[in-house]
Amino acid sequence: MPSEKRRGAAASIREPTRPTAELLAAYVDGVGELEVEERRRVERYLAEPASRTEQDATRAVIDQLRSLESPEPQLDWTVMERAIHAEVGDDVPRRSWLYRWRFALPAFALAAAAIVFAVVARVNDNDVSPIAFAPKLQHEQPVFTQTAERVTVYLDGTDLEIALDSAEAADDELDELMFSEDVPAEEASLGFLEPTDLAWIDELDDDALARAEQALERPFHLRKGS
Amino acid sequence: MATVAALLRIEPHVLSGVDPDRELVERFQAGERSAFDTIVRRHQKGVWRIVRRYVKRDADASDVSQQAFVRAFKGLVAFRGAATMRSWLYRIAINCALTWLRDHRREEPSEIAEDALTEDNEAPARLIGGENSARLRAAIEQLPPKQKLVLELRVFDDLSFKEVSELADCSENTAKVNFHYAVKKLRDILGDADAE
Repeated sequence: MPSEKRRGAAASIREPTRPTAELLAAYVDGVGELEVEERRRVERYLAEPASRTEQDATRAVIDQLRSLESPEPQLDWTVMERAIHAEVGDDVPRRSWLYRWRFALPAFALAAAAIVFAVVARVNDNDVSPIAFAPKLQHEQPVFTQTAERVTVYLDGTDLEIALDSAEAADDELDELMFSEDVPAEEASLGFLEPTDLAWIDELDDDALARAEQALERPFHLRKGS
Repeated sequence: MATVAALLRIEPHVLSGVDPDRELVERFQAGERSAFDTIVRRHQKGVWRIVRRYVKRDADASDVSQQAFVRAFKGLVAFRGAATMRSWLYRIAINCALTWLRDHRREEPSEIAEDALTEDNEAPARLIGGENSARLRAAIEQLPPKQKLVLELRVFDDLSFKEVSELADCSENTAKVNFHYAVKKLRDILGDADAE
């Protein structure tokens, strides 16, 4: 039986103009309170001759119900009226300020939210644009701490860092080699020409010297053998 | 409009959609204290009858009705008219009655039920009539609670289906359908009694 009811309800949803008896009592007792569609459905149901009997029976019960009179309670209504008046007093309660501003409150809330949003957005913009607002950098002179023991030299296209101690030691060693009488000339020259090997320059005559000077004055690429 | 309403067997305010108490509410909200006295005079019997269905004694029903009006007085300034003032007032009365029942459950456990509409109480029994009326009263008591509530609000309190739906916490269509099944069940019960 309940499943039949469910099927009926589902069918009435699918077919809004399907005849129905479910609104018959409401139709009989107050047809003006029915929607147009509801009224149409009941009237389609009442178009069937058999339904007229049901309509009459429904009307009879409703009339019987309405003829039932509820007895007036034996109460003095003025007593209740006075009691209520005494309890609530003479002053009409005032609406709270919240009630008076109830329509404006959402607008205020929206405005406040917009302001907060704008401020937050502005702060975020400041965070992501360092170029526009970055303070001018103070370039400090680099401080070089010279290490006491090392010095940088450039040799044959290469930066070399040489410890001063070892350079001085090498210099001393070189001096010792060059000026020591105990060391053979070839070893002391470290492969470079010995001063004595340049003695031939002193043997050149004036003419040869003049030609040599002329050759040196010429541009390098015009020199013979360059 | 009045002719149409008469033809359709309905109160004019149902057709027009205007709450007949609207003017009183507006006057009260504007600060006119006497408007509330008029509301009390107009609705105290209806409120009392509603409360009396829940509360067994007349005096208790009067106390609860008074509480309901006091609560209505405090809340009426904020009443916005989503429902009619009468159904709003009746809802307050029902809530007060239920609160009263809860508070007095221990005092009268055998007499008070949480939902008085599902219990036998004296109010419907006091409907006056002959033998047919007595049978009808007995038949009403056999209705399921929801159908009984809808039927009583509709017939004995003269509420529109919209107001009934607001008080019974259901849709207007459900109220109409419940009313139909209540009447149908009464017909069945009375028909069976006649057959016996």
